[in-house]
Amino acid sequence: MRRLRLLLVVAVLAVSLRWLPSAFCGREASALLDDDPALGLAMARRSERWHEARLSATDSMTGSERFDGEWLFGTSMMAALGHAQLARAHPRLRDEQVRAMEACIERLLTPQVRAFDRAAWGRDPLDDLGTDRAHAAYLGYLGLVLSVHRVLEPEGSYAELHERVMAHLDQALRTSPIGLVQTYPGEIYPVDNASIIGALALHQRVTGVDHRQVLEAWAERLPSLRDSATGLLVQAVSPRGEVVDGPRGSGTGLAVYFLSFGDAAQSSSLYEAMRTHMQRELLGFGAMREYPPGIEGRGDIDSGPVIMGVSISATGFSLAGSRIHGDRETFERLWSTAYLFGAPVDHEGMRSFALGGPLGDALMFALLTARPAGEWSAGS
Amino acid sequence: MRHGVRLGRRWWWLIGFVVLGGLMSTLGARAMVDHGVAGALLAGGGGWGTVIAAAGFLVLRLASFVALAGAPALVLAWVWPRPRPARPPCTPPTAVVRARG
Repeated sequence: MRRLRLLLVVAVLAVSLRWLPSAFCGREASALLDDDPALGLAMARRSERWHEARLSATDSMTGSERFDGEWLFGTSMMAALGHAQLARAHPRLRDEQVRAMEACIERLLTPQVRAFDRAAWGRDPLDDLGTDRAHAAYLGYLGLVLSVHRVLEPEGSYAELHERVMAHLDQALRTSPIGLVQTYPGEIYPVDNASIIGALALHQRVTGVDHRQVLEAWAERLPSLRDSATGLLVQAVSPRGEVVDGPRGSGTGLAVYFLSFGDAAQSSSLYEAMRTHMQRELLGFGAMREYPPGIEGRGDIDSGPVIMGVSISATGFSLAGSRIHGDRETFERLWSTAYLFGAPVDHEGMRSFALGGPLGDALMFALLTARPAGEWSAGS
Repeated sequence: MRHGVRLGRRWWWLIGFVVLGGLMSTLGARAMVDHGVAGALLAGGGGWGTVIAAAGFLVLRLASFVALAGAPALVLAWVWPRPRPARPPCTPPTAVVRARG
């Protein structure tokens, strides 16, 4: 009798440890996957509030002037994508979300937000349109935002700027001896190029402008940018095209998201590599490794802290990947983890993440509203 | 005749851990947002106070989920009566008298 009691108590403890915390933390997963408008709007309002707060580069001091600027830029850029995705998911919210997106674009175009790229290149990115200086850090991501906006508003007020940015990026990729463009002088990151590919593919689809040469060259180049053993995307290459930072979860996870705007098959293939090699699970909570199994590495500005092999960035970016590719099971597990450690707070009709800050809130907004694969390629 | 159910101290501890843990975790998250702890943490500002606040919050949040996970097993253990150890066989009084004899 005593043994039976002990066995039953241990069994109940095991079952509740396995299911209870993860089920509690993941209880909103279905609503998020089903595009609950209330949740989307709450995140949108938080991003708008940050926008109204007029953040400056000194609000997110990382210890590096460049990274501060990147984070300031990233906050408006990811919020813009979040608003666009919400507009796409809920036609009745379209007008208000497009307006919010345009407020983010205006912010992206300010000299203050462009400053990080100007400091690195010594030239302003918008003044350098048409030159051989790629400015992928700024123009690559601005280009994606403008392409997405163009899908929603084909005759919008940014059409002329969009054309110039797309022509610049197309030319930069076409004339590059290694088929990749520089983020900063001497620095090349395949994930930033993936954003450009997403932008060009969308632009071609909406306007009919021919980028086939560049898109086909990328499709041929992509396999050589992937780790032969895992299929993950390498993090950085040298100006001569040699790999200088190997396969990583953060870069691959983000590329899955950016490529989904342009080429669903490429995005899906990278996501499959993430799911197969990087996924980890404990008690129903999911996470993604930063480095492939067997490789240990430290965290950096791209990955955030790496704890027991898993990184915040790879895990967070894969929320979008699992949504985009309809992997409900993985999304539910990843969302449980994001809920546990991100600690969402709802107040005044807004949703903030206690451990997010401006960039974290904007990232979560974009990643948790990412659209299914192929939706952007289906036209406006 | 007893009316109602009286809960022992251990039950109050359990209820306190689960309910207050959850409440404190929620209030803690709200306070972190209101005071911009995440922003300060990312910014490297706020010194050790920020780091301790964030770490304390995470520990509290994890503890509240551990309490939540452990609660059903504890309830079962307390509700299911513990089997009493078997008593030694009773010695008949006559046998005692005879032994003293």
